[in-house]
Amino acid sequence: VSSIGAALRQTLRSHSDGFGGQAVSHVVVTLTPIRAGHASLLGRKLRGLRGGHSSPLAHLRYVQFGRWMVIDQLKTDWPGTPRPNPELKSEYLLFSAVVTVPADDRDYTFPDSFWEDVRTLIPCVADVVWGHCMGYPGTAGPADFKRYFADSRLRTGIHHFGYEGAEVDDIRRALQVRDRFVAFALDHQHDLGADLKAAYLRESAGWFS
Amino acid sequence: MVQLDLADIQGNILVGYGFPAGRHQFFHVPTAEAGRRFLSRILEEVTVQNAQPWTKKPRVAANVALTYAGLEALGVQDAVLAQLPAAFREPTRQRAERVLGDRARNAPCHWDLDASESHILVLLAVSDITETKPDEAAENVRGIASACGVEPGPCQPVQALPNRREHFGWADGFGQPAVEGVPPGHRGRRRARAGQGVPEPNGITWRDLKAGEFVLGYPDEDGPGTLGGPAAPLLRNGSYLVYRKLYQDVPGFHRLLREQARRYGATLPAEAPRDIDHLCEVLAAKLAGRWRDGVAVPLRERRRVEDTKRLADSASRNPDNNFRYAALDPHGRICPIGAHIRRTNPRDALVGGGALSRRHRIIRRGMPYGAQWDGSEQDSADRGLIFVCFNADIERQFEFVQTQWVNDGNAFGLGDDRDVFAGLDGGSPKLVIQGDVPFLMKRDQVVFTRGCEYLLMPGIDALRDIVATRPGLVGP
Repeated sequence: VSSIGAALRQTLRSHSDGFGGQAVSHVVVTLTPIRAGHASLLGRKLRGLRGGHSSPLAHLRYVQFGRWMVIDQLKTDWPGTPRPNPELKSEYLLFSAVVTVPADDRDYTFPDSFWEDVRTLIPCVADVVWGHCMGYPGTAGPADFKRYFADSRLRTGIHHFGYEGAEVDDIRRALQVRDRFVAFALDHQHDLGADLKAAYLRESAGWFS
Repeated sequence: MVQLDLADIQGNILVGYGFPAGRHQFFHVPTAEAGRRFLSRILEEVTVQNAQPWTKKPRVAANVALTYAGLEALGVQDAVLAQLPAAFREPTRQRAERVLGDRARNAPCHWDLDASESHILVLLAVSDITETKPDEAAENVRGIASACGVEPGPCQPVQALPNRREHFGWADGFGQPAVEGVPPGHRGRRRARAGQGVPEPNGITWRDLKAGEFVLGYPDEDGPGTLGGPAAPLLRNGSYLVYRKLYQDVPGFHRLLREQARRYGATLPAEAPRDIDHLCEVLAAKLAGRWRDGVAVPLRERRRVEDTKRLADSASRNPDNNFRYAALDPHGRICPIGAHIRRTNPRDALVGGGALSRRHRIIRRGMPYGAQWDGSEQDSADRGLIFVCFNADIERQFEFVQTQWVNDGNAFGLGDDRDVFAGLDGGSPKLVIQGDVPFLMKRDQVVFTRGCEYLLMPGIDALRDIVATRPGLVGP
């Protein structure tokens, strides 16, 4: 137990500063017009994608959060809606992602590296999704691909970062620690003194590894 | 004060019948003509919202609701259908899995109430089962349908339990929204309604919710609720009905409660009673936010052991609902933040006072199904709740409550903790009971989805318009 305790103290010390706080968070938002008659099919395909850790976006480096949304109509039932009601020229696909780049990855340049990851790491998903949008060039040509998303990018004035400055791996580890801590608390909340300490040393050794 | 067109609003939306039993009969419409013929036959039997309480209750109250597929089958025009909300248009089985989280053990493949091929739901409520047998009432409607060429689908029996109980043992149905425009004879006194509407910023008084939150075509909490476009005649004085069949694992719940009550007792002060039955009642009250007789925990934190022994045999007739959370119990020390009634109606507990709660209220009209549990481990018969609720916007009201407040704890700072009763598979394995020593309770799912449908309960004029194939509403 004592050797585990020493290792644990060492691990705790190494994590005592929390997240590095040096990573830089970026946001990317694109709006692309959907080809006529394709919105419903696209919606079905998006619904078929997995979420969470199984999401195709999880294959991309440094993506904290990302989502696609089909904008098929404007809400016009709220007070102060402009008159006459504005109408969309087409349906649109909105894509947004938060990307947090570690400070030590100097080769990653945002957003070019992000789009290159999309093109090379999840090309099939990119083609299946944006293939329903007007003017989408496909993943074969890097220059056209990059230009398409540069042209489609929306400038945003306000961003919300769930965990600004925290690297994705840090967040994953933190969530694992939380889950393990909850399990520990459920099992040992009534243990006292030496029993609690022994259980803690036994079970917490792996929390931070 | 808004004037509601009561004669056009179906009964049981604004004021519950409180009848002891009923049958929910689904129907399939093979042709639009057959469906309209059937509607025309039962239209005169439909119960509307009466202006005064009944002096003599009807033997049977009947109400009609239509699925989206039902509107299509009845010949409602595409331009009207296109104006209906996406949540209603999407096939419910698909939406339940995708949006509500009815996956794994709650997935549609496990449902035993499959109304996906059904178009019309007739809800029958019987006021006196010694006079009228619910099955006879259902048979009568099926006979009318058969004569019109309409095919019967599933028929779901419902039956109240003694003392207004649901199967886990709570007296249920309290704390319904107080709605503006409901006739005075149905409303009760202002004091009795306190706590059921919207908490006003003065910290003391409450006002009634706008009727447009529940009945379409009236001002709601944020706007005039004006209906426009081709769907207006279909929607006016109607309400969206959410229908869910929820199986309750009653022995499993009591097993969980008993097992966890012993552990919970260890977190209580030394002077707290240690009687296990009493601890079960205290923990149950903390989980629900109400004692089993309906008394709200925020208003009565402690009960004596002698009191808790009697909770199973009594129901408060009209328990006081006049309580808030923000000032007196912000951290859930009295009523836990994750308690069922606090999640489903946080009142003033969220940022902005009542502003976030008032747009997410629902009117509940559910009833139990299945026989009462006999108290033995062996009795795992099919029993549960037919959850029925009314709202004007399924996505903003029912679905929001179910997905954001019940099936997620994020809004309350509870991470992925889920409601002990209505929370589904997944999420964190714990519930937190705040106290001097917080208690972390293991959570097992004890309520399982066994069916779900979204329907529209139209106004009487809308039903007449469908029958009469009103131009612009029905037809090519």
